[in-house]
Amino acid sequence: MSAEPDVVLRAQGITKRYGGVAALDRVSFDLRRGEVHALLGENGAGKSTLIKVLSGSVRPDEGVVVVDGRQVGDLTPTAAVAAGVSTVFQELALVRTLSIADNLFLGRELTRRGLRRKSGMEAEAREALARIGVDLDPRACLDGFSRAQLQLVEIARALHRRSPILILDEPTASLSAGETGRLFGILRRLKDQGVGIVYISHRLAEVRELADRITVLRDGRGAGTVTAAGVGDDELVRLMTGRALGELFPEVPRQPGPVRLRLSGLTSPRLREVSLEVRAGEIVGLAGLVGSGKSEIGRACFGLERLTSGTVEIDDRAVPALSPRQAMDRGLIYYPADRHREGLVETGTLGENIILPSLVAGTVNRFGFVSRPRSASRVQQVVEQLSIRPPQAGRKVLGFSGGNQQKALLARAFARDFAVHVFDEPTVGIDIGAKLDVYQHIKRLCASGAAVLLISSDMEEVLGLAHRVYAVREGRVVADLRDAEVTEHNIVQAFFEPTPSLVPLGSARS
Amino acid sequence: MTTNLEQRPLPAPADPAAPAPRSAGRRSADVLLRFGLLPILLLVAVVTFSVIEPRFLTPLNGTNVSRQLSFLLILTIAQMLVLLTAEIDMSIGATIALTSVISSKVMVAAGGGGSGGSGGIAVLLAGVLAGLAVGLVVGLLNGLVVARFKVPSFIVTIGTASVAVGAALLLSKGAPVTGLPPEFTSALGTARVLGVPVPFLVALGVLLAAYVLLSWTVLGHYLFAVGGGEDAARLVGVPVLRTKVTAFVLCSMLTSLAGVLLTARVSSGEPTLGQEYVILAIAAAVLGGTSFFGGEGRLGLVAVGALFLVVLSNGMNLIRVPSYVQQVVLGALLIAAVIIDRLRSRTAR
Repeated sequence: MSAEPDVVLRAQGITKRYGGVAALDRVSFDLRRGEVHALLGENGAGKSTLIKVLSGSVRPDEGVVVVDGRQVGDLTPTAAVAAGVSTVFQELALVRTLSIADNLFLGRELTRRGLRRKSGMEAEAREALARIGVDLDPRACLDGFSRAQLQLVEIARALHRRSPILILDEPTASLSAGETGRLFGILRRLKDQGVGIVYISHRLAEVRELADRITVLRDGRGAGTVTAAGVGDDELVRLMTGRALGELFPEVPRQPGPVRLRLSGLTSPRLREVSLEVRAGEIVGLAGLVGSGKSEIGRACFGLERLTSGTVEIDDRAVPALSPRQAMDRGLIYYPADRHREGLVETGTLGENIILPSLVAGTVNRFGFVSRPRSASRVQQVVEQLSIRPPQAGRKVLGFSGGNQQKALLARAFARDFAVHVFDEPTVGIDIGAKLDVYQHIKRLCASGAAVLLISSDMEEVLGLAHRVYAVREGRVVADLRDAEVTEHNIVQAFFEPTPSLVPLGSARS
Repeated sequence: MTTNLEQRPLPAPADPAAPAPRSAGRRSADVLLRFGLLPILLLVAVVTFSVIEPRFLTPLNGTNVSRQLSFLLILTIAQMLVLLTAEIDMSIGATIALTSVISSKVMVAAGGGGSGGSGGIAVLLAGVLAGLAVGLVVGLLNGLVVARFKVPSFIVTIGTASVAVGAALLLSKGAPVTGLPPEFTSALGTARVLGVPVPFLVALGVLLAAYVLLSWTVLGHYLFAVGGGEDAARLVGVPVLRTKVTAFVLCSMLTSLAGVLLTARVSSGEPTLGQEYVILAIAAAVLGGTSFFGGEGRLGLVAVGALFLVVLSNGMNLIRVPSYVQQVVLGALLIAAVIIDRLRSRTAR
C-alpha cells in the first residue's frame, strides 16, 4: 500500500507491556489532515497508553510512530512537540505556582536580549484565551483555579502552539455543557484549517457528533475503525465490550432493609449540605462529573474530608471523631479510587496486601503476633472468591494486572463484617473480566444485607448496578432518582441544569 | 450501512499474568538484583584478605571481627527499622555520644568513686537504664516531630543530632567522663561467655528479637506497610503515627544499647563517640538491600551487610590500607548500593 498523502500521524503495530501485561498489543492508528479521529474504549482499553506513545511520553516495546511522513525513532515529549504534536493530557501538566501566561510560554519564553518579554507574552496569552472564549486574566496564578479552568488553560496552551496535530484526552470531562459546545466550535474551526485532531472520550454521543472516524480499542487491541457517520451506539458498545449492553451487569435484587448509612448536612470546602441515606440490601449510586464532589462525599464518610458541619450515622449511631479507624470500627469501609497511592502497599506482595486489613481488624492475629495458618486461609479465601489470577500470594502486587490489583484492594471486605461499603470508582482502568468479578463481589455484599454506596463516573455502571441514584453537582446532591427515574437522560440533565447560584466558570476565583 | 473499514477479529486473550520469557542472562541479572552483589562481595573480600594476610583467618581475628560487628549489627538493625518506614535517622551518632556521657555520669555519681562490691551491679544497672532512657527520649522526640508534623526525618534528625551532641559536650565539658566502675567495663566490655564476647551475644539477641518482630508480629507488618504505602496503610486503618514513633523509639533505644556497650569498651564516657556509625549503619542497611524508599528490606541480608563492612574495614586495617583510603572506599560503596536499590525498584515496576 502506498502511503496516503494526507496522513499526518501514523502509529504502526504498537505494543507496550507493563510487567507481564500488554497495555497495547499491535495497535495501529492513523490520523489525516483536517479530520477528527476519535479513540474510543473502556477504561483500561489502552487509549491513554496509545496517546502517551503518540506524544512521546511512553516508549513502545514494538512498533513505529510516523509524524508527517518521517519516522521518529526515539520519540520524546520534546521531540513530539517539535514535530508538531500537541497533547492535552487528563493529568494536567501545568505549574500551579505560575501565571497563565508563564504556563503558556513555559520552555519557549519570548525574550529580548536574554530577558523575558513579559508584556508581550501576556498580550499573546490574552489573545490565546480569547480565541477559546475564556475570560481569564493571563497574569492570574493558577493556584486556586478549578479543574475546569485548568483544563481550559491547558487547551489554550495546546492551541497556542498552532500545531498541525492536536491530541485531546477527555477534554470535556470537567467542562460544562456551554464550555463543551464552545470547545467543539473551536475544534471544528481548527479542522477546517487542516489540523488533525485525536479526540479521546467515552461519551458516545459526543464522539459521534464530532468525529469523522472512530477507532475502538478493547483490552489493548484495536477492535476496529469505523466512519462515524451512520454508526450506532449499539455497534460501538459491542466493539468496546465485545458484548451487548445488558450482559455486563448482574441482576441484583433490591431488598431494602433499615437505613444503615445516613449522612446529614455534610459541609466542607467542597461539599454543601449533603444529606443522603443508604439502606441494607441496597446499592445506591452517586453520579456526577469529575470534580462535582461525589468522590468527596465518599471520602467524608471515611474521615478523609475535613468537615465543617454535618454528621455521619452508621446503623443509627453517629460516628463522633471521623477517621478511617473510627469508621471501620463502626462498620464502614471505603474502597479508594486511587489504587496505587491509597489502595495498595505497592512494595508488598499480594498476600501482604490481602492480610493487612485483617491484621488491623484483629482477625488473623493474637497478642500482637500474626497467625500463619489463619492468614494463609484468609488469603486463600480472598483469592478464590475474587478469582485472583495467578493465585500466587508471594508475588509482588505490582506484578498483577490492574484488575487483579483492584481485587486485592477489595480484600478489605473480608477483614470482618462491614455494614456499609463505599466504593469510589471501583472499576477504573480494569479489564472486562475483572469488572464482572467486581460486580459479583458488590452483588454478594448487597445480598448479604450490607448497604452499598457506589461512586462512579461510569454512567453505564451506575445505570446497570444501582437501585437508586443521587446526582451530585457543585458539591451538592441535586437529584434523588428512584426506580424508573433512573435514566441516563435524567442523570445527565441533573449534571447540567443551570442554577442561579453557580459561579461562572470563566471567572477566576481569587 | 456497515461502515467498518478495517475490523479484525480479536485474538484469544493471553493469560495476562503469564511471565514474559526470559533469557539466561536476564535470569542471572534477576538473581543479582534479588540478592544483590553482597554475598559475592563478602566472599571476594574474605578470600582476598586471607590470601594476602595470614593473620586474617585466625581465631584471634575472629574474636576481633565479632567484637567490632556487635556494635554495627545492632546499629544497622536500628537504622533498618526506621528505613523500612521510609524515614531515616541521622542522629544515631549523637545518640551514642549522649548515651555515653549520661550513663557514665550516672554511674560515676551512683558509684561514688568505684567502691565495687555488691553495689556494683546496681550502679551498672543504673548506668544502662540511664543510657536507654536517653534513647527513649531522643526516639520519642524524633518520631513525634516527624510523624505528627509530617516533616522530613532527614532534617529533623540532623537537628536532634546537633542538640544531642551539644548536650553531651555541655554535660561533659568537652572531656571524657572517667572513673567508671570496673564491673561495668569488664561485664559489658571485656567479658566472654563460652569464649564469645558479651557484646556479640547481645547483638545476636537483638538480631533474634528483630527477626521475631519483622516476621511474626503485627507491628512488623505495619512497619513494612507504612513504608511501602503510607496512605494505603492509613486507609485500611493502620495506626501510621504510632508505627512511625515506635520505629524511631526502637531505633534510638537500640542505638543507646550499642552506646552503652561502646562506652564499656572504651572505659569512659566520650562526647565524641559514635559519629562514624551514622554512615556505616546506613551503608550496611542499604548494602543489605533495605530500600531508601521504604517498605523493603530483609534482615538476613542486612546482617550480612554489616558483616561485610566490618570484614572490609578489619581486612583493610590488617593489610595497612590508610584510613583515608578506607573512607573513600566506604563512600563509593554507599553510592553503589543506592544505585542498585534504584535499579531494583525500577525493575519492580
